[in-house]
Amino acid sequence: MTAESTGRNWSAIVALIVGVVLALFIGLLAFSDTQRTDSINFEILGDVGPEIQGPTLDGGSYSLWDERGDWVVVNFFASWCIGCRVEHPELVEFTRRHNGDGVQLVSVMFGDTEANAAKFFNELGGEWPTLVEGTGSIAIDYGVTAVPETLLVSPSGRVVQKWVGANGVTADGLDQVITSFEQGAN
Amino acid sequence: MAQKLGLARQWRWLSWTLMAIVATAALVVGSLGDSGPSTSGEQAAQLAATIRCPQCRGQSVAESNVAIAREIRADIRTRIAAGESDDEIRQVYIDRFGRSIVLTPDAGGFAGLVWIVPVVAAALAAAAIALAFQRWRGESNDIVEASDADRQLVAKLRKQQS
Repeated sequence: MTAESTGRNWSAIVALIVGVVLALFIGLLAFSDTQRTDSINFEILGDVGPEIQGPTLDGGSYSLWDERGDWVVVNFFASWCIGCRVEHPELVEFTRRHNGDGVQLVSVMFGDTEANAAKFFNELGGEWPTLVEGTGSIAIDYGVTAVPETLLVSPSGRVVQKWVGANGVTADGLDQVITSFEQGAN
Repeated sequence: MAQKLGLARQWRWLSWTLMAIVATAALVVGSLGDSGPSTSGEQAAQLAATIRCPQCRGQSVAESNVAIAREIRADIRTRIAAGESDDEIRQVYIDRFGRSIVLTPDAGGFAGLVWIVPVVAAALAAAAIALAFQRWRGESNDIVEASDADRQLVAKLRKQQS
């Protein structure tokens, strides 16, 4: 074997190694999910809903875990959020339909101030527990990325549904989902 | 003459060894000398830079000013004050938002190649350079030194020409 042919072999080996490294990087970039940019997060579905506890806008206090046995709709909102304003009348209608029948609603302020939240409810109506203090950690516990986001917690305390979207939820839509879960359980 | 060449070779080895020691020491000090963030605020900022803003495209929560990024930054500060470690805090967000919330790639699995491939490539490059140097040295060693007889011959020829 001449020195020239040995050199050629080395070049081929080096080229092969470089090719393999490049192929690995291309594969890594193609299959890696580290660049995922979707903002909807459903990690919480099926888990026991983390505690939602604290003082409410009307001066009372609330604890989600004290409400086991009821369906609880958890709504994350902000006064500056257009989707929240759009869906709010639907939530008012939803609470009007359910009064002590084992279905309830709790709202959690997100990225807003207590004064703005109070103004929001004064303007648009609605009387249900609304948490306004230390709500950032609650939003993180529920994997909220943007408002409006609404979750349904089953009587056993598990998060079974999540709604994300600019137009929010409707009273009919919430009732349909609760009914379908109740029928599924029977 | 041969003694002079041997001395030069020894000096060359000595300089290479000294350079290797200095480079190694610099790398060790550079990698181990950093005692980490000096304040909890600095720690929070460093950690926030490794958490992806869930609502943004390609931004960390340290860079973004959307509501969820602000909430996560505040949550990081609260957790640091409560004594939670960086890994524990990262795990909280992974549990809530999924693995993609962390901007630094996994150390294991397929994504771990991001850490391994550059090291392997650097090692291969160093090995290739070492091989090339060895080959060049082998070629230079093939040059035969002039003997006393050769020198006498050259001196004789010069004398004849002059």
